[in-house]
Amino acid sequence: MHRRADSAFRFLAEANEVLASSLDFEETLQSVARIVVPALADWSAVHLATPGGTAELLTACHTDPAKEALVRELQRRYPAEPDASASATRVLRTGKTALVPEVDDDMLMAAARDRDHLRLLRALGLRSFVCAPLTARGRVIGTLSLASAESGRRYRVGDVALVEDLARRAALCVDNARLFHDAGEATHRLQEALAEAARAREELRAGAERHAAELEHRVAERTGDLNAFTWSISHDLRAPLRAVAGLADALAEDCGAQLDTRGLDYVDRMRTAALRMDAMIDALLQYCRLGHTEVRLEGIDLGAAVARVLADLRAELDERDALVTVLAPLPQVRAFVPVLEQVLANLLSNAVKFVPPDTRPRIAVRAELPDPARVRLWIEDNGIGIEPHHQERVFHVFERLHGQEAYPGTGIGLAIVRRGMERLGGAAGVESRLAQGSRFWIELPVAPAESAA
Amino acid sequence: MSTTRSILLVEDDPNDVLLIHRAFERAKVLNPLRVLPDGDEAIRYLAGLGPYADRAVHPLPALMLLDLKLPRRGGLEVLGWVRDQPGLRRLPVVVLSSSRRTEDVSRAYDLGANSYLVKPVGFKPLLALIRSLDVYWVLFNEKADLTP
Repeated sequence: MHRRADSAFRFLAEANEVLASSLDFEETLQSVARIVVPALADWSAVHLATPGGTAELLTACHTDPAKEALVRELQRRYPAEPDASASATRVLRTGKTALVPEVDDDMLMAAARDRDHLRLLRALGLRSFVCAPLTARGRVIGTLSLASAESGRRYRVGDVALVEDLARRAALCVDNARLFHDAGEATHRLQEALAEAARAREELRAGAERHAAELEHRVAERTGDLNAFTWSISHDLRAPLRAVAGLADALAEDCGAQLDTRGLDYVDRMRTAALRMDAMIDALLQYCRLGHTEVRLEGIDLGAAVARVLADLRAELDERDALVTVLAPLPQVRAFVPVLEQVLANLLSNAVKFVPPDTRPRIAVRAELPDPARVRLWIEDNGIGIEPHHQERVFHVFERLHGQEAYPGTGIGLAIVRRGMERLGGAAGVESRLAQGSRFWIELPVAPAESAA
Repeated sequence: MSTTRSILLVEDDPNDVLLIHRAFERAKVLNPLRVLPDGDEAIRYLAGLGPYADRAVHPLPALMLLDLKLPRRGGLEVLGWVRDQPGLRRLPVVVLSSSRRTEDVSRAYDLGANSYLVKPVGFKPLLALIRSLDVYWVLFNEKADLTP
């Protein structure tokens, strides 16, 4: 008995190894059936539970492979109850190990359905058998049967524990195989899900691309519309103005003798109105243009830009005898010269324009660095100032605070300043109080020292 | 010689034509002003086609004043065609347009315009412009030989 238990331990260790190496469910059970022969049995069989609750033979092993055919014949001809199948079905139902220490001929005769059946059962030559449940996750999934024949071995109660242990290990391996299979399934499903996600992402990307292309198309269309619009304004809208202004002049010159002062005043007003509309169209086109003109930011010398704009405005400044002070040096900034110069021209022109007629315009231009990355340029005047609640409005298109008589203008200059600064990635604003002058400011990124030209 | 040669004005707007005529009179420009109302007519004239076949009656102009927005065939197209003709490629062409758009100005220069002028609003600036034009292009500018 001691020797037998010893060899049983060795066997279990070996069985574990065989079982652990296999992760396929049926292969595992076939291995179990195989390894018990001949060490523990002359016969072995594994039955699996069918969905109907009966036992179905998965595999049978014999020391003499020729005899395996006999089991298969029995299984084929007497499906429900070949040898241990009856016991297997009972074990499946009860979950308890069945032990038959001695199989005698009476038992065979009781089990046989006919003479041929009895002949086959006798040929099988069973002497003793034990049938243990294969329990995985609390469910009986099949049975492991060990039987003796030629060896004359007799299974006893003491052997039950060993067979049950083996069945438990086998079931555990089956479980692992199932888990592995499930994991494989899960991995497969995960891979499918990932592939699906990749497809979805690809579709999304293609969708986004289509959307972007469509947007681009629409932007191009809008730009095209805008171009057609500005083209039409540039070419067509001015012609009637030229006619009005030109013919008003011709009227005054050619027929002036027939007009009295009032008539000449009317003609003059026609002319002035046409000129104002021309200026407004110009400003509006400039404003439209700012929206879609290509802006290339580069390092530029703010001082040089201010000097160029002041030179362009010389006549306007001289007319009012304006005093302009630039606190040099001004820093290098990142900007696009045409837009920056337009912004500066509008601000400086306003600074000299919105000053009471009896006051000499004084303009100060100076820069500060609110932080190391930004330059704030101040343009301060001694003009009429702006009430706080109007300070935002003045940056909107066609917003004017004063009549044409007092301070003529298009109402677009500061809108151009605001939009221009936005295009340059900067900002514009004003600090002012009525009758105390205005301090307009623009803010720009500082140019890195090496990129300043 | 050059004073007898005409100045060709390609212009469809009757008010502009009237005012430019008036400016020519006031500026006492000696060259006769010939007006063609669209791009197709301009090309027929310059090519000497149809009613313009007789060069004695319809000589090549000393200068062409070309509007850009024209019926049938635009000014830029006319300009491109002129620069492609061996017998016309040196003809002085001054664009006289409403537009200050950079695209229009650049395109005209790219196609070989000799000058680009924006039609002014008001008669005084128009008269000043025509006077300068006469002095510069008719009096001072060295005439080009058009023969290829």
